[in-house]
Amino acid sequence: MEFFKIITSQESTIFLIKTLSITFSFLFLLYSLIMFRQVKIMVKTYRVSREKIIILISFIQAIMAAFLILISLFLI
Amino acid sequence: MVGEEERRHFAFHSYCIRPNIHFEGQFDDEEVLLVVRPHPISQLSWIINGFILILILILVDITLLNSLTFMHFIVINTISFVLVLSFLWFNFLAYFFNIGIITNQRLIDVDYSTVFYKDISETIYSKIEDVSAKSTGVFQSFFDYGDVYIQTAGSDNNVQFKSIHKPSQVVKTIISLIE
Repeated sequence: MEFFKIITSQESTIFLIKTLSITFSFLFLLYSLIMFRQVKIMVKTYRVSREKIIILISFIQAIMAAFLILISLFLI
Repeated sequence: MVGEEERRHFAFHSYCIRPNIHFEGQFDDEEVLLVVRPHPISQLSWIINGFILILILILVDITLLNSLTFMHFIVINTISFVLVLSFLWFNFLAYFFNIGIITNQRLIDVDYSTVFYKDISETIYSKIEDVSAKSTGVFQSFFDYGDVYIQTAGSDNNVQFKSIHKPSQVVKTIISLIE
């Protein structure tokens, strides 16, 4: 009964959400870094005048992923 | 013929005449005559999916507005918004870099089925045996896009340009370059 109260309490719910958010954010960061690397390969294969914008957007995606980790750690 | 037409190229166009681009492995005397990519209409599915995801996010926001704390609301929306943007960006990259390049020396098909799967097929004109175009359905007929199949000799890989704009024109261009 005590155990049931613990796992359904608000603190447990917040802990679960926080854990899932951090895990997801970390995986998303990995994905963003791989995407950034892949975009650089793609731009090397086919060079266009706006390649810097494309690389920049991919870089911003990686920055946003890092930002998500911070949000998950400190705002939840 | 494409080589004689004036340059017409915009960054996101699906039919670019003599664009100012370079590709990996391009020879010094090789000139890019035409770059084709899938017609934008063929990309409607992921564009519409992106809009639907944003709508769902807005509806969830309205539904859960009073149930969540302000911080939770910010976090959930930030994560969801980043997810949707990543989905759109992923699909845009797969569209933008999925191209067919027609040069004065060869044909190159760069395929990124997903962003992480790269398949490059190329052939020189002397190895081409057959070129054909196919447009099926109302959308393809109305918006003038379809598939171009380039059959090569022997066991060489065939080259395909899928859902490209003006497939008949592309076939004519390739045939004129073969001759």
